[in-house]
Amino acid sequence: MMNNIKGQYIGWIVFFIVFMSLAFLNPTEHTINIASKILVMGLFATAFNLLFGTTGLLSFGHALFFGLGAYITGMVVKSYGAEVFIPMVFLGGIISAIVSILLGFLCLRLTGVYFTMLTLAFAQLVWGITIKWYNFTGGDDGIQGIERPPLFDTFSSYYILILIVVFISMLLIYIVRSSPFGMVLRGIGQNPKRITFLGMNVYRHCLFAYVISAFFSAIAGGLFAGIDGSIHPNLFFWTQSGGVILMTILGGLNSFFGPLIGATIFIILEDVVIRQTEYWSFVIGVIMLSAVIFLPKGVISLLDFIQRLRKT
Amino acid sequence: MVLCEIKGLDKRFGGIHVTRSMDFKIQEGELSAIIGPNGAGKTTLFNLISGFIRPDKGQVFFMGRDITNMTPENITRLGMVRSFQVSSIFPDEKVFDNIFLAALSYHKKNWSFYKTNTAYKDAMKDAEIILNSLNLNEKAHLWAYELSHGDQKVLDIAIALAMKPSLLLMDEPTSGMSPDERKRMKVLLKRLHEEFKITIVFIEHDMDMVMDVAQKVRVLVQGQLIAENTPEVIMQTQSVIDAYLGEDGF
Amino acid sequence: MEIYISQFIGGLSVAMLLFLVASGLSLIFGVANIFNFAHGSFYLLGSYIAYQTISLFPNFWIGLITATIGAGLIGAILEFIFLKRLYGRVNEGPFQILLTYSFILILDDAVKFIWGPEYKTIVKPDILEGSFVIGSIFIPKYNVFIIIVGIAIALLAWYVLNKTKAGMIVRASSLDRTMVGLLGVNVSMVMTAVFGIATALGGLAGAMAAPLRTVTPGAGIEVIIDSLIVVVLGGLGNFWGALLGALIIGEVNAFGILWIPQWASLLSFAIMIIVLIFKPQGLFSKSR
Ligand SMILES: Nc1ncnc2c1ncn2[C@@H]1O[C@H](COP(=O)(O)OP(=O)(O)OP(=O)(O)O)[C@@H](O)[C@H]1O
Ligand SMILES: [Mg+2]
Repeated sequence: MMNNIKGQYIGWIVFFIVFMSLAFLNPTEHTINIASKILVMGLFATAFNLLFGTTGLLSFGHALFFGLGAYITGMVVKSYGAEVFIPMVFLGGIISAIVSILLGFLCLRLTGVYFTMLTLAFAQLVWGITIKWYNFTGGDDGIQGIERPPLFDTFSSYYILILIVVFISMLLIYIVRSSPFGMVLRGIGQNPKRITFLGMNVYRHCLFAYVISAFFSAIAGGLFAGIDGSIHPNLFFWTQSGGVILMTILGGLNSFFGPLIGATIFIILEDVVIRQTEYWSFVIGVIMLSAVIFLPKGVISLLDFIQRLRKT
Repeated sequence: MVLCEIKGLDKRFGGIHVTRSMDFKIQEGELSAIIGPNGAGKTTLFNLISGFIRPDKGQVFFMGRDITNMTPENITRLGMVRSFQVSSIFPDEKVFDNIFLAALSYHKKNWSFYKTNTAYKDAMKDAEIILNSLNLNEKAHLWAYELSHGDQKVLDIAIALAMKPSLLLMDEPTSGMSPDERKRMKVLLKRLHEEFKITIVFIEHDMDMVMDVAQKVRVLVQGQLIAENTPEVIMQTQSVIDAYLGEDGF
Repeated sequence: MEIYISQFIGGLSVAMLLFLVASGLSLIFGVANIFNFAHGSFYLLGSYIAYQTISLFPNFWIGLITATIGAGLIGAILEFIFLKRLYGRVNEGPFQILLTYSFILILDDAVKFIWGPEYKTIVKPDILEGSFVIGSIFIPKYNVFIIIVGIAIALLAWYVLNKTKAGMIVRASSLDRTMVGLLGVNVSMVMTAVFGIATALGGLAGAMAAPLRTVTPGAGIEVIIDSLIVVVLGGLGNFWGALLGALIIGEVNAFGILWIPQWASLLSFAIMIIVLIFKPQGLFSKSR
């Protein structure tokens, strides 16, 4: 939670300096590629956690919004050229937000496992459609050769664009979380009945959080389309939703920067492990299992633990 | 003046008839108790009045309006606020923030999402006033789950007060409290009534508390309102004595 | 006309397999209030254990038995070591889903590691080869076998749950764990046993499905999603609901492939979405 104001400032500064300095350290293309993915997935996870980390509602279908963002940007840029890239990222967010109003309208009437499964079903449905509708989406081949926007067309300048957009987006999410609205969301997670008897509508607050979350998830997806210039229906697949949940848990669902830290660990690990073995799922399975059992509050909780050790 | 009127209220859960065509009026400014054996339907009655469950039959009027089919959140906004049998707080928030959140809701700031919450001075001030008057100020920076059981009940009431209720429905404010905490709750109830001018209806098992605090007592047995009078008269009423003697533990 | 009937029979046998998997899923949810996301992985394990056994001792029936016992044991062990630690924790619901999700990742890859990514096949036993012929309609014997086993399991489970002492304990535990604990029943062991039985049902289904479908490491995921849909249709924790859900999905798939082959695989999702929207507690629920 955001009780430690100083800690939060330090978080933002460290976040910006670390990722900014990367650009000036004469990095390899590979390093930048990894760093770009960390930022994009970090934003995705932070957006996802706006719902999960506050209200406790577990969506297993957030890949839908991420994929939607990626496909809107990817498909339109492919047809109309790179000039429309940046507006499309934004438009992807808007469209995703509209879609999420409709979905949230249906899904959020349910809670618990039912909510989780319905979000999963919708995402899988869209995944299936994307694969089958070959003429429109390119089906299982995905889309390749998506150009980056002008001015940001090299891998390192595109990285700067990502950094700026992600930084601003995360700042906006942070503001939402520390607003009265954000406090209401936390209240819903802890005691929805009390929220009702304070004259507030649980469903509508959750819906609004869901929409904001969908918007930024799609922004992350849109940015993702330019990193490798290729996208694939698996962006909609449930393992993608599972991945973003794992990042969140791994980093710490109760802290604002937890999901970003989780994304960092996840992406770096993926990069290392995939070169060693094809059993990546097994490795993340073991990590997930250990995190759930031993570190349910994520690596961030280790920091608290160390602090407490120092004090005593 | 009548603040709240209950007309022919009726509710069944499957086979059990928990509320039987109930009629009564809550006068503005009253401080009254509802008593009755376990399972008599007291909590259910509050749930019906506050819109949490729908009655099968009957109506509820509040400040002259028919609120029978309104949602609990809208009824709360009209000024009918509850505290709960099992204290209903936000355990992972600071004590201050528990009250502050309620105050934000009262000031209709719950939808603002672009300013940090400390920017809302009115709500801050309200929360501080309540904190001080309920003597929670020394505990303001504890997590709510760290409070003692008795303090959690007080916090529950503090949260309710932030909504500036005109009618406060309290479900067993002293349940699970030590004798000391009960004494303090007694004083608090009287103060809420006299200083804050709140109309209060509370459910209570502790007869001392009822005799001492309530100006009027309603007795519920098996979903039926069997008596309504001053505490002194109620204690003499044969049907009430019978109802209670049938039950052990009173 | 014949094609419809044979399609119907095909759908029925798929439905029975789905029912076997889904009834296990439903059982765990109804009794232990655990949502086992990894249930399809036990189906997968069942297929592979059966395959392994049959390649060592060429007997189909031994394969079925080891698959059932093996999947049940692994399930019970996983519950005992891991799931137990979550009971009563904050956020228990989401964390259960995540823990069992990690089981999927681990088990599916373990299967790939042990048995390789290539297809495996199991042949039907001789007496179940061939078809019954009624007029011009061919009904494969193996499908009839699956349907019979499915019905038998359904009846057996109904009998055990409703007419035996063990069943009563299980049902009572689903209502009030503490109360049953006070009566001197080891609730923790009941949970483990129920989890084991449920995963055993999944393993049995996997073994029985193996001769019909090819055995591949990816099969678990499809099955989980299908059985999730079945269970959600029938209402989580509702045994007969699972049967109804399985019949609907089995038949919808069978006829979907006939009429709209390209989109058939999406039909079950569409149905699940419609049901969740209109009857979120499942088709058998009275009202919300
Ligand atoms: N939602 C519900 N569904 C079914 N039965 C209910 C429900 N709520 C309450 N009941 C039943 O209605 C009866 C009255 O319950 P209620 O909680 O109103 O009693 P009470 O007078 O508040 O008792 P106590 O003094 O123990 O708090 C009880 O038999 C209870 O089991
Ligand atoms: Mg009660």
